[in-house]
Amino acid sequence: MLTINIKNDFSAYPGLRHCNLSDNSGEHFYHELLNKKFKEAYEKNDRLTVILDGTDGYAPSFIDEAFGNLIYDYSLDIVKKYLIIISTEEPIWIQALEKDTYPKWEERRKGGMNPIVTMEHEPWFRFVNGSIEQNQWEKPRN
Amino acid sequence: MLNINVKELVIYHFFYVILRSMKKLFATIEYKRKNRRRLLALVKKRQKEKRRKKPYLRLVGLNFHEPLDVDKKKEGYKRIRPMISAPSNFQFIENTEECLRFFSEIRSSKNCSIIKTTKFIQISLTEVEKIDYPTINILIAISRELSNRKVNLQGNFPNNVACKNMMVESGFLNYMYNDKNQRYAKAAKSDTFFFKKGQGALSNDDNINISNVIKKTVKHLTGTEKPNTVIKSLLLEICGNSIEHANSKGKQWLLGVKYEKDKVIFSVTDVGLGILETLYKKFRILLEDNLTFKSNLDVLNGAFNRKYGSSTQEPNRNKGLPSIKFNSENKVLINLIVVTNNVILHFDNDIASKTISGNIPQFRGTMYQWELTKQSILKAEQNLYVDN
Repeated sequence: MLTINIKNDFSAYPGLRHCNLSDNSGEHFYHELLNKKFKEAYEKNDRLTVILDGTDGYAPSFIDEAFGNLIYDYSLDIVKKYLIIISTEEPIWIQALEKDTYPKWEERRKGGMNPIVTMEHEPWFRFVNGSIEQNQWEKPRN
Repeated sequence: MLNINVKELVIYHFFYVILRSMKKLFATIEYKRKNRRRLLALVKKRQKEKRRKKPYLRLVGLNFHEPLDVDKKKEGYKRIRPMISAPSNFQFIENTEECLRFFSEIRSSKNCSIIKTTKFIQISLTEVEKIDYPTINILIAISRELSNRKVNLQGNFPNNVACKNMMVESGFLNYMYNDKNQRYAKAAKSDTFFFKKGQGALSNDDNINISNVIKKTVKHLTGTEKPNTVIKSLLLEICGNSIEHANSKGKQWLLGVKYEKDKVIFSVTDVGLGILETLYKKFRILLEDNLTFKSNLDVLNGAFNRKYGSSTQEPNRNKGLPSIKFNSENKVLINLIVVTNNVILHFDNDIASKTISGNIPQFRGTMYQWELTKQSILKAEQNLYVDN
């Protein structure tokens, strides 16, 4: 099983939503780690486990941006099938994701409102017409 | 045989003589020196003209658009404005109107004195009899903003000993200049007050510092040093709002902490646009608000109830303010007060909340203040979900 432990694999001090607002942002985490690992899990028909425990606390915007982008790129059905989130210290994040972030970002995906990126990222993966394609889907706005 | 026209020859010779004499004239050392001096003078003059075109007091975001109609570059130029006196009851929460007037005055370019190229604003605190912690926070935030705009804040001490001691201990003087425009000596590190100033994006060090402040607070209140993820989330969210939406010069924010016997007072201040200026209202809601003559207090309450959208207009946004309100209702944040634009909102005291009347200057920015106690830390540890 594939695993991301945010404290060990990313940072014990996660930041805010976008790269232009803070170090270790949700946007950075998504493009650096989550998008690639999730693609790996999907291709291996495996599940990706993300462990939120152990950090010094999250801003809601970090969680929203990181996992919201995943919904936008892979769709709610696929994310639910291939992603497990573990948060024993703060179970509220799982509730917040399921009740708020997932439906809002799925709505955003269907409405075609593109995610915002605030810095150039390497091409990343998106589920398009039944297959995964790699592209630099968004560019920072000036 | 060459057919030489004598007339042409004479003309060629004439030009030859002129060109030779010109070459002689312009190739001389004396000419070269003279020309170089002229060229340098011309370049300097053009650079001066270019510089002069820049507004001398272009302090966007405040009222510093006033053009200077005099030649400020002139040797010995002086423009001295009168000292601005702070009210004797210098308590922002109790005497909001007078304090707002004072803050507005010190942020106005009209009160900016200039000596040659040094800009400064003079304030007098001698009459101050009472001062509170939020006032000091706002003063520090404003002095940082002025400093960012190359304007020094000059001032003196209150005659009242208690007020003077509070100001010295708070470290406010670290941001001030004396009447000779020299910085005051840095105050010793206080056990009572702590300030963390931020500018630009939230760095990893800022993040670690916020965590350390929370650990120290938990130790102060419960005796055990440990992190508190709920308080951390709230602080990150509030500081994040200041960085993203406040639009203040340099994205500045100021976190102040005051340790008292059984409580710790937190305040986060930014001197940006204020919450009401950065809300996004859908047309239907805008129309509804106007038709029902909603006060700004109602609008701010609506923002904390997720009635309005974020300025980014993304549907997944606007989670921060509702989570702050939830934690106030859940008694994690005690006596939460938010002051922004012309609204003062007391979450634990509806009667004290109000929209400040039109002829009193607005507070450009946002200030949050709340208290933490041992009980509130225990409440925070329950870590309940905010269901919007």
